[in-house]
Amino acid sequence: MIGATELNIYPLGSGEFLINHPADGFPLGLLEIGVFGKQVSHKEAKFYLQLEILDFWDTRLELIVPPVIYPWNNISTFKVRYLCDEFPRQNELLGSGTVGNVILSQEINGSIETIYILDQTNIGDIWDWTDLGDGVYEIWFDTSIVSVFAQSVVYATPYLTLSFYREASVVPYVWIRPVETQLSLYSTSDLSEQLDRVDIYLDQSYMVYSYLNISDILSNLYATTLEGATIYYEIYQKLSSTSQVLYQEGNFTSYGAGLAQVNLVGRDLGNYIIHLRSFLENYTSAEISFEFVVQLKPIDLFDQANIISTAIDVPQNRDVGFTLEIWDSVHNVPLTDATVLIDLDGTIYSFYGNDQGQYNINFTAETLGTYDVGTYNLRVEIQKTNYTFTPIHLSLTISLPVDQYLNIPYLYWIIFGATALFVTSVTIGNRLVKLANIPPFMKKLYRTKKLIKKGKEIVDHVVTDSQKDEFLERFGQLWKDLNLDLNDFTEEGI
Amino acid sequence: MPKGVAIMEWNDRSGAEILATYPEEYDIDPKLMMQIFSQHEYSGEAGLIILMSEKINLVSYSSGGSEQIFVILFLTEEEDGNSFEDGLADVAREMKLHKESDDMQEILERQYRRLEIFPRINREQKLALVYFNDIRRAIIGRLRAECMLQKSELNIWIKDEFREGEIDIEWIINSVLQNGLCQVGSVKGYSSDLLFLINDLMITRKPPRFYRNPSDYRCPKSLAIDYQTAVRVFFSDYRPNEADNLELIDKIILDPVNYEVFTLLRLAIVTRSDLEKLKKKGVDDLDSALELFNSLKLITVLRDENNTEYFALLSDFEISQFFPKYMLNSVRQSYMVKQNSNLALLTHIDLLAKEFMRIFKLKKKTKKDDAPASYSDTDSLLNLDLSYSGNFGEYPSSH
Repeated sequence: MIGATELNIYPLGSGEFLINHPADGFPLGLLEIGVFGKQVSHKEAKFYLQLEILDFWDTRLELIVPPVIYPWNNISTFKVRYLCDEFPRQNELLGSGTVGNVILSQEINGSIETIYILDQTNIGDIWDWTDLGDGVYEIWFDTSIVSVFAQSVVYATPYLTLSFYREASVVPYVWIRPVETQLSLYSTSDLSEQLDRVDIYLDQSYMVYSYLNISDILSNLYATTLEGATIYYEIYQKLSSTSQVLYQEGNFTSYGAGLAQVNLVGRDLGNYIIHLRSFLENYTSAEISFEFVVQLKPIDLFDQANIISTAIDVPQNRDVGFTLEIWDSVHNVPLTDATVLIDLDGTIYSFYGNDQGQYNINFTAETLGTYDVGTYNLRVEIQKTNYTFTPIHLSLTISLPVDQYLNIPYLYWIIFGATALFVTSVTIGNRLVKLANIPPFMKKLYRTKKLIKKGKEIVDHVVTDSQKDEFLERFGQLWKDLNLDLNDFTEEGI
Repeated sequence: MPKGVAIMEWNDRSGAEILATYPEEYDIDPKLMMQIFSQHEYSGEAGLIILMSEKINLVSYSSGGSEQIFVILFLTEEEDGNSFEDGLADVAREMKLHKESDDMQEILERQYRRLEIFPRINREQKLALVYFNDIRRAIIGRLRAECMLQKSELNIWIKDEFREGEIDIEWIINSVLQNGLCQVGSVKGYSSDLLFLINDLMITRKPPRFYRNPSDYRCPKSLAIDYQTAVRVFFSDYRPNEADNLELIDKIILDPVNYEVFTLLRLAIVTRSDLEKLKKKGVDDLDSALELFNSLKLITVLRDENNTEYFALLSDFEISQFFPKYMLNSVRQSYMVKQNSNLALLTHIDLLAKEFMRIFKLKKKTKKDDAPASYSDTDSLLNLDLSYSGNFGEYPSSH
């Protein structure tokens, strides 16, 4: 009995009774309950017990799987365990609880400030939770709901509730960092040709394309193109190997799809270093550099006479001219007012130029006559501000003076004459020797042939041995050995 | 040595008939005769066929023409039928001329013996064969006088002159050409080829090579003067003549047995015992051979104090080729009398010049002034003067 309140008592038999009474029927606090037993013919018995009526059971929330470091825009996940923290239900696992909300907070200027509340209004989109049983709850949220400029700590405080149990929370913290990015450079917008150096001639321009993408392998954005970033560049002119000065700065112009472009113009000769840096919230700044060189303009040379030939041969008594035409190869226009020089054996001669970019020089026979016969090295050089030209080396052979008609050196004529005379003499000599070696009979044959060919009269038909003579020549001596004269024999039977 | 020879002719009624064989008892299978005849018929012209099988090796020559006869020579396995061609042609002509003769068998026997020389015939014998043929001799005779002859004219002339019926002019000329005596050329203005003489033959007996110093050739000193006297006596009466030359060629040069004896006698003065060693060479009847040599006045027999007989050549015999310088005289004469066209004479001069220079160079090469002007370089070396030195106990090989 509490005061005048009588508790509900239900007999269970065998002397046992169940006392059951709604707790809300009691006031909060410590109560004493007196239980009385009475039976006819029996002596009354009674005892007292204390009963404390609580508003809620105390609970606690334990972080069993903490969140770790996450790139921005990724899902952060952690697990908590919900337990009763009051006797006699100490450490009872509290399932079927509810994560009412999660408060995200950050330390700003020394104090913790709420930056986002994850509640029933945005559950399912940017956060949610799952009852894993046995009092374990998994909670996740999308890190993109916060903005980070550097790696930052965000406190994610979940609040769990359950009827008759007190609400519990815990304060895990999540590391969120900007997504890593990278920059690369291309000479074409289709990204087919990567570049690490640009060489251009003075007054030429060159379009450079930058491309920004995600390089963070932990990010779910990995390898995707990053749009909307600002690409800032600084051009430093290298004054020496150790010093440089800021020459120009600015932003690349967006070209869409992670691309940005800038047109480099070679206004001043020199070597430059260009640094690029990307800027976009929640993303790291990517950087890249490349070398940029502005060179002297080249000259195109068109040969018109004797320039391209590596070896020129000219008789000492003939003129020889050199003509060339030069063009600005960058702007494709004739190059006038250049200084064109030729070095012949240490003496420098200047070409004469016109407004068509043509230059020429003529070495007269008189000039060549001042040089000895021989081979000389020629060096042709072109000089003009902001232009460069590699000198041409030629070989000029000044040969012996030649005659007017056949271009054969006079000396050769003398040698030819002497040789011809010698050959003729030798030929005649040989012929005479050969003639002397021809057997007499052969000479007779030739003579006869000549006479017959010319149809001339032959006076004597006997010019050589008769048949008998031949016989005597062959056997005469044999008969002589016998002291006989073969001459007495006739030709009969020979 | 061939096994035998047969002369066959074709009779339209009875078929192939054997006119004569040597050896006489030589038996020929009629089927083989038909086979030979058929093969000649198949070739359709005069010439040579060769039949070779496991059991038979024979060569047959057909004379061609209307009264065609066949000379069939039966050979041993090792013998080459081609080497007998010239000889068979001569035999065919000879047998054709004597087809009706009573002594046909005897003539065939002589011809058969002559055929034996062909496989080993030397330059001297080749020239002897050319000279021995009366038609060739006549052609050479005309060429000596006229410088050149048209082949077509030659054909007619030979038929008129020799009246032998059909004569194979190509065979006749071929032998002359092969031996380098003539050359054939085409000259503008002549309807047929011309035959030019570019070499000539020199045929005569001559003193033996050991006349001067017979002692060096195994003649006893006591007999040297006798020998020299005998030779001098012979040559004081000797006059070169065609009949003598032909007889020597026929009986000595072209006779294989007698030629063996002659070859030995050319090398040295020999005794009977030396000569008897020639039995190994097929000289079975030495007495007959010596009797023949004696009758031809080719040898003299000397006896020393021991009555040993020495057989020495009384005369040697030469048939050689020489360059006919005299032909230039004939050319000039021909030009003067306009016997031949100038173009033909110029061609002849060119041929003579070429041949003269060939011989000139050959003489320089052999370094012998009297090097025979033979047709080929090889022949010329084979035909150099015979020489022998050393022990005469063994019969020397002269070639």
